[in-house]
Amino acid sequence: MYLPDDAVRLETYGDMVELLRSPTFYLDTGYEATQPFTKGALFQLDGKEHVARRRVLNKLAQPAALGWHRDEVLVPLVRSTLAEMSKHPDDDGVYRADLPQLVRTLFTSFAGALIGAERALTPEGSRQLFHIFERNEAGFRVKFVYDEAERRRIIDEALAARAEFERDFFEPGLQQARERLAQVEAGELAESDLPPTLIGLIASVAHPDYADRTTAVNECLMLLLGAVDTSSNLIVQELDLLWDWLELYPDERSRLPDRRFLLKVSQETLRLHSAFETMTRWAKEDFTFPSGKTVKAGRPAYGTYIGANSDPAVWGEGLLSFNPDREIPQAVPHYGTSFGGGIRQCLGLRIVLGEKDTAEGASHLDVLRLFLEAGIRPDPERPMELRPDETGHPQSYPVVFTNLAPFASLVEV
Amino acid sequence: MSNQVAVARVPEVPPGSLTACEAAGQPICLVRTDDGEFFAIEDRCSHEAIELSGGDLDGRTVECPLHGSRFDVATGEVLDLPAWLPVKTFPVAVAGDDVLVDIGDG
Repeated sequence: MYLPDDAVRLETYGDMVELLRSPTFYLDTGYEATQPFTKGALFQLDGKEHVARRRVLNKLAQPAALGWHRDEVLVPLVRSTLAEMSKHPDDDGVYRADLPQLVRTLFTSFAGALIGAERALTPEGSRQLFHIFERNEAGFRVKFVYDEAERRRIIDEALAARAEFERDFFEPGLQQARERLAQVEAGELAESDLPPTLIGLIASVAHPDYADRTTAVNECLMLLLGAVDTSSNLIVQELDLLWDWLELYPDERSRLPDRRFLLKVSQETLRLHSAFETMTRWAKEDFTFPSGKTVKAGRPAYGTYIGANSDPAVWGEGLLSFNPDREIPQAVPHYGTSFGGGIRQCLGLRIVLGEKDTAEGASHLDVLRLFLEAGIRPDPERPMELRPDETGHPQSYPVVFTNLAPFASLVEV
Repeated sequence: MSNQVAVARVPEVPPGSLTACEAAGQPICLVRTDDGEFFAIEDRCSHEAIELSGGDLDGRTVECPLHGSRFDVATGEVLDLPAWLPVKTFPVAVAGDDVLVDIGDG
């Protein structure tokens, strides 16, 4: 077990929120072996330094930026993918796909575009970037691997992935961003026409830390890490829950065109299927949680997201079942702790949920909406399979598309 | 019940600014818009414990410096996530050079 035996396990939503929010706790980011691909990234910063850098990164999640990525990247990408799919039915005329693979490909390209690595928008580039993502993610989680030789192998692969990313994605993206800045300088391009990307922020040194190459590359890798799996898993899980819901309540089908209903579906799905399993923080001083549990200075406390998100005091009856119309206390967000909390709350919250109430700009909802238009449904002959690891994320979910004809004539991007 | 407290002097608060003040122990974010109008909101984001006075003002909208939540300075209403609860607003009056914030019962 990575945690020492005296680590305090938290069971309630209130305790977990304190763990995430209280300045008494800090995140241990000092795992030495991962430093070459994490050093300088936002999550390693604390206090005012974190706030200053996060403020710069927030620009990527502002409504205008989200709208740009929806209109210029994601929707055209999904449409062209569905159009391409419509050309290749199976021998029996059925259009089949593996949903996790399909959405990971789409969100790898989306993440690449958000980073500013346009090569990720090509099929080859998307495949390469996903392979980089997989090795980077394994490297990030290496502290949970106890076999020394295996740990070394994972770290070496993560380092190779980092070098590949810097050469094939970061460097060309940076050159392109600098050329665009030069065009703005020369009056050939309006500043408002610059794509809102992380590499764009880096090229303009929007924060002094971005002058440092290590920090800049690692910040991009962290964004890649956060942007691919969260949305991919969310779409797979929410479609799975939604199909079960519609089977139980067929009349609810009439609500599918309502984006606010889909937003409720997303938030309830996030509550039940957080992107991460546990959250650990270390106490700077003795601390008592709202439940009365205590942790000593210098010792860790941890909680599981699903534990916090299924606290009966907050979520009421049937807390482990899916109910998009669940009544929740006003002071609690429907998604619970699934985006973390405190100063490190996930930047992806606004990318996933979009604008307040309307969910405009919610990237995965645009994908979901187009999939529903294309008649997506589970393959009745093959069930979902979960990954055989601690994440429990979907590994395979065979689906069929029953209405690809409207997409067939679309011009590819 | 009215409880007006002088929190600043008009010449010290430039248009288009956010100023951290205190009124009887209540942290206040004093807002002066580009057109010179004053507003007062509690100086704490409803989402996380951070001062809104450290954020950005755009018209009548203040953006939290941490996660980018945006609030209407006149109504306290949330305009952008991740905050979902409004911030408290306080009536403001100008008497001579004094900016007065009414914190009510506190």
